[in-house]
Amino acid sequence: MKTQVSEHSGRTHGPPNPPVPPAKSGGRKRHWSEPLRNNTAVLLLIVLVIAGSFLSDVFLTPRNLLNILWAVSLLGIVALGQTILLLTARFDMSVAGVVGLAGIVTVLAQINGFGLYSSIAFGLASGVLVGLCNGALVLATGANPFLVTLGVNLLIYSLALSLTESKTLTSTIPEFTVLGRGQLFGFLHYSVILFLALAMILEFALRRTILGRTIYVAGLNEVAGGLSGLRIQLTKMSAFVLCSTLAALTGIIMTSRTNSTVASAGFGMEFDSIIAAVLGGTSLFGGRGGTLRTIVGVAVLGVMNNLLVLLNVPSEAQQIAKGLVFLAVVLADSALRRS
Amino acid sequence: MSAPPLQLNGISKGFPGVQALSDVQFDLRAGEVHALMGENGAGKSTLIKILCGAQPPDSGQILIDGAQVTIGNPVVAGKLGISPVHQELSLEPYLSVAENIFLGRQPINRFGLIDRRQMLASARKVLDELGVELAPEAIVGRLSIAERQVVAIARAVSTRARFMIFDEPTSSLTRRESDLLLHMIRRLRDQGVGIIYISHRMEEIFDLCDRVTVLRDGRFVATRQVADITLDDLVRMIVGRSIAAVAPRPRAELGQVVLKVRGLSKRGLLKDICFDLHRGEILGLSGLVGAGRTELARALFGDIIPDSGEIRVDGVPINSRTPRQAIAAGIGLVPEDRKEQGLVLAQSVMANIGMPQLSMLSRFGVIRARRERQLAQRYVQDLAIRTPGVDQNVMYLSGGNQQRVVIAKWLATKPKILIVDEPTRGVDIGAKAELHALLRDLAAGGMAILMISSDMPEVLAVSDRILVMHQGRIAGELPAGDATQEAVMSFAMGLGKRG
Repeated sequence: MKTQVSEHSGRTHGPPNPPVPPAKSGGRKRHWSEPLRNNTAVLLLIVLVIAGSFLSDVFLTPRNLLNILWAVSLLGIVALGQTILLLTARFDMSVAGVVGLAGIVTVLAQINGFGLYSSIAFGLASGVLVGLCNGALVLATGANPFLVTLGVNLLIYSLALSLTESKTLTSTIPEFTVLGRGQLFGFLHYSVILFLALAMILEFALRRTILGRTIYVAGLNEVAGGLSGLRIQLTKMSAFVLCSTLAALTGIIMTSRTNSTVASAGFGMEFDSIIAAVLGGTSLFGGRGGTLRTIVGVAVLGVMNNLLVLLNVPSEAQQIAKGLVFLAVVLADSALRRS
Repeated sequence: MSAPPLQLNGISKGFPGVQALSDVQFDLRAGEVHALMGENGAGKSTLIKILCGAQPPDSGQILIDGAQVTIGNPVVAGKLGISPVHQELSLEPYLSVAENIFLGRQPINRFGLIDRRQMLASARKVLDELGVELAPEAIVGRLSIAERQVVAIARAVSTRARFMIFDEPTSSLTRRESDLLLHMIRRLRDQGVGIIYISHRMEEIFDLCDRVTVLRDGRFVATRQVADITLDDLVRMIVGRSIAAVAPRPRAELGQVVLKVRGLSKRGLLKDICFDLHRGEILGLSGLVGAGRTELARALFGDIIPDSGEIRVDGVPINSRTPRQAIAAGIGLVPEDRKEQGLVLAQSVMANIGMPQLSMLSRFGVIRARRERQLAQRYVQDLAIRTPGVDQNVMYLSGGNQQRVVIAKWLATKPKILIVDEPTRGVDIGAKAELHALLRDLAAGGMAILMISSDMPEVLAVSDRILVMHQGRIAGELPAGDATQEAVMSFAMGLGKRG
């Protein structure tokens, strides 16, 4: 067999090759910052931070920055799961319901005499279960995941309502609040640590493990993946379960913060988590993105909200700002991609 | 002599980093079929896009009947009588044949509504003109690829196009369908339409075309009368060098049986398939589209679960219910459609090559990056894949090189049996000869190869033995030495002449 080292011939079929983007598939020695480069959200974040430092004296204080992280870490954890599912070109609209349900299941377990850890396990298990349901329904029927999980969300929400008889439940174990309120070194909330650590672990898993590789392939070309012996169906199922379980974890931490729970605890998080992931640069169509990017997406949302609060902007305007920023990023991204 | 109806002078077009066309000339007469040839990337598509108004040229003139025109967009092209019949058909699957033919130009009755009766009548008239039997009411989504092509042609005819462009029209058609299409094209030519014809199939060029223009690396090579040149001349013009014709390979003694298939059946697809595949053998699998060849490949590969029958690899029965199990048993499949089934286009050469054996490359589920890289580098070198590096996304490689990546990913698994389904479809002629040489090298190295192909000269030249399928059965077996196109065809059509 011949050995040949040749230059890329430079000939093209139709329009020429655009500059080669970094391979999305991992393996290469990449600079640590690579997932964040070429990213509108990073620019936006920098602009927001600079603007914030001029607009408010309080903004750049360590205390305020930590507050922002604390405020977004819960949405962040949900968004990490959503990111994984988006990479497989699927969505989970039931995360909002799961956040509420998992908190309620945990507290109900405590009320019924279970200990701290076993009650948390119950809460997480409820998430696993919903994830399995979502996955089974979507994979078995081939129905649109958006609609299926939307339906499941309704079911979970009603289930949560009837479990609580529409009342607020309170945790019976005092140590439970440590999870939501505890701080490392007296200033770093556990939920923040958890969010950042999970993002990094998941990014590693996505880039370097078989599971991660298969997640990208599931979003890019699952037929080719299946014909190459990858376990596509199992991987998609895992993505659903992971997403739902992270939502459950969020619900448990949230309950631990407020020491009480309502069925609507996760209200709006299904859309916000997708917004955060897409803002960070994860594609809605699968196969492109990552969880480190989602940290940036979540941070943009957090900084923006924080600034608006510091500037005493009414809360309606905050929603408007969120919508506008999201639109701007989506439009800028697609404009950049076209050019 | 009057000016030719369509003339292109000194057309140049550059894209950042590459000159796609430089100073290309072309002319088209009324009532001729003019072949446009060149390897993939030679500039054919760019020239066609310029002609159809999809892209403006950087310089050069386009003259119609001697008058200079500017084709700013496809609508202008249409008004000038230039009509492409697309390879990727742009039909509306949920509308009828008639609606597709007159899409955007539907006849209107006095209430301002679409006049269905007139539309159906006009559609029937156009279809009659083409000499095809196709119901104007039929829904396009239910038609075969060949029938859809007829609809696309009918649409072009109904606009009274003077110049029609056919880009690889027969690449996914069966022999009989191709013949019908070529017949139709001749009919259009006789009616005075000027036809630009792009195809990699040499027989068609010599069979159908009056003149041929060859492009190479974006430059004009020559325009010649087809009658004045030989196949060798044409090949030399296209690749700029001569390629050894596909000579029958010396027959080696058959090795041991590697794959033994007995009584393999799947309701509606496969009936009682029995054959042996030997070490070092290339077994050609011929037949018409729909005869069950691809289904047989998928059944061997665990992608279709057969109802009955036995598959043995090296004497051990395998019962693969997933491709994963087939891969473990030592089978690799280079599928029919490399873009949809063979490759993850948006991933790197390295990721694609590593894909079938990620677990071999991993420890505790973590991919060992260096091993994956070394594996990819080795096969890129072994197969002479032209890529700037293993990190290049596969989508930026040429068709022939993409196909090599698919082959590389299977060779990397060290399979005993390699199934290749239409290995050279859509690959230009130079790359095709190289792929054939590669398959032979592999067989010489002891690999057992099952080659499915609709390209008859390829089957005859590359295979050691040929199986012909018809309606889900093995209709006949021919040793390559004695096989002729006619003999293979007669089995494929179910006429058979056993013994």
